Amino acid sequence: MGATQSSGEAPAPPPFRPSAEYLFTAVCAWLLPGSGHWFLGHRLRGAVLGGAILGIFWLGEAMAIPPPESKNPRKPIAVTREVHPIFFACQVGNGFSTLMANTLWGAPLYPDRGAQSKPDHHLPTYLNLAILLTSVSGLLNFLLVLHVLDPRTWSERRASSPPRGGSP
Amino acid sequence: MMAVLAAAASPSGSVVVHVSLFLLVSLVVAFVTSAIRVGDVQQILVETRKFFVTIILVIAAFAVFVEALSWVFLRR
Repeated sequence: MGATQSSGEAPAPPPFRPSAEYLFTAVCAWLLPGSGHWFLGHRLRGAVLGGAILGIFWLGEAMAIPPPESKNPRKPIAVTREVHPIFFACQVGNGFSTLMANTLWGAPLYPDRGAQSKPDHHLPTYLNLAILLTSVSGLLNFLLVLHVLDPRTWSERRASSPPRGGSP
Repeated sequence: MMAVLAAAASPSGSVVVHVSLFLLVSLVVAFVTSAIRVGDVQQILVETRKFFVTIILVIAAFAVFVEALSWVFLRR
């Protein structure tokens, strides 16, 4: 409320305004985990975080391949918007990987006939874990995107690095 | 490889796989949340370890509670 600045204090930082770079970085952070931090100059952190998040996502996908004795095609079935849309809402945090997995392999294996559906005895043994891993990785990337969207992250970046420089 | 898959498909192997992957996911969650909150590498490792131990202890306590309820009400 009308605070006056004494002569010895540092000038107040300018108010944060979202720029094109801000939006671009946020979209990149969503599409490819870790890339937002990479663009912010935290390259090592971005690479390690992206590797960890994508690692558990693709480990989950690899665990969701039906066994050879199954008549179903041998494609991962952990990410499929039509079959489990609620988990998909978590998985979609991984951006490009999730959209690619859903586009390539996301179609239901067979039509849903409700109570008339026969039980499938050849689902992947660890399908539950596969869905858990892919969902957790998507939610973790949502956290990374939120961190990139936080104006304080950009203020720290301006304060700690030269305009176009990056820390390793 | 086939022996590993067969062992993983057995009931006891299934428990090992579930617990191992639970530990892996907990470790990744602890690491990612710590790396977001703090910047220094040493601090990240310390925070990761603390958060990981907390997750494990809380989930273990919850598992014991659920097991106790199961024994009390279902006798199994």
